[in-house]
Amino acid sequence: MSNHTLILVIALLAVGTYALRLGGVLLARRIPAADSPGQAVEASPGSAPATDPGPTAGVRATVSRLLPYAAVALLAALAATAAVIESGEFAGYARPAGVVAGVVAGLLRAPFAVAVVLAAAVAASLRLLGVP
Amino acid sequence: MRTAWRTLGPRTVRDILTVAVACCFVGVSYGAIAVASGIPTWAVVAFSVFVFAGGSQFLAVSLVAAGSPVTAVLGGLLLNARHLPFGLTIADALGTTWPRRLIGSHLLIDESAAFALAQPDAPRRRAAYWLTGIVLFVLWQFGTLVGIAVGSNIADPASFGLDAAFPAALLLLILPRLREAAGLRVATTAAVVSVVTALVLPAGLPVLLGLLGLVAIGRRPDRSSDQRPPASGDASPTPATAPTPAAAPTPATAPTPGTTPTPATSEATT
Repeated sequence: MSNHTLILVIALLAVGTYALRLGGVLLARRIPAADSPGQAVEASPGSAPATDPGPTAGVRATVSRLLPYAAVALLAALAATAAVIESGEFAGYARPAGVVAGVVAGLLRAPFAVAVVLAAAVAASLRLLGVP
Repeated sequence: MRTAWRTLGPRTVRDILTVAVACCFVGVSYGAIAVASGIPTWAVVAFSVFVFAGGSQFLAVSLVAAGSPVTAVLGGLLLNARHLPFGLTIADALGTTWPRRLIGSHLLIDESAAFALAQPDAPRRRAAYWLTGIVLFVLWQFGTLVGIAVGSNIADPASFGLDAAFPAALLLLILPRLREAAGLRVATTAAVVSVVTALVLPAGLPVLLGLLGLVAIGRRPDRSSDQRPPASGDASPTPATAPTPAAAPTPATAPTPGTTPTPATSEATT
């Protein structure tokens, strides 16, 4: 990929992300107190809480409920394909085995860095032993 | 920092620093993976400085390395869309002057929003937001540079298992969400759809198709998840540390509001 394309990707992603951040901050001024931080904490993700479900509030509740899951879906999809696919084909056993080891470590409350290093170490060890 | 210490108390400051260090390690893995996948150094740094959102950086770097720039932008923006509702929620923590709004917006990540939300009053919200945002921004850049140094010295990423580190890091970031039924359903469906389609479709598309996993969410998230703070979606880079109260930065996913940098990766890369 050319440097120009890469610059364009970075610029579009940076500007778009900043716009999303600033947009929320600026919009907040126009929206009545219904979402003061305190309430937001209780009422957030999907709960469509008791308070005024106006049409806008309904849409917003739905969106704020779905967004976190959209992120989960995207990251899970990326992780899954990265774990088992290489150039459109099965990537071998060592890599997914390492990933599973790292996730299990995380489930057992190992620190992030430890779990990530473990994933790499397991995959590397298996390859050393001849596992594809 | 001294002011923040007084306003927030040692406990909160310590929590913030703990999260920042964890985030730094995510930055290291981002830098190492990105460089190892063939992204030029300047671009790896530019993503960290100008985008400053870990999950989307991992995604973008991975898709760029796979040769699909368009999906890199679309997927990254989709991932960062959660910043909008987070901005709505914690706008008052930035301050009211324009410089504060303009600069503060760039520091809006899962962790800064989470720590701000956890504070009981406006002055503390503001102190927590800025301290978290600035410290994480600095450490994220530092982590990225260290990662670049590490990644550049590795001849074959696969022999060190770096290709396994990336997907593992992503899953660890969303681990909190995977502990709840709805999140697990969504993630599993997304994983299956993307892997199956990856066997036939060009790189990039399968990840976006993972959004079909949302059909598995059910009409409403589990009760338990309703009680949590605003979930953010993705990944915040801090894994297991999660210090604070509710909204505190838990690693990945969920509960935290803004998002933060998650690393990037690339797998398909090589």
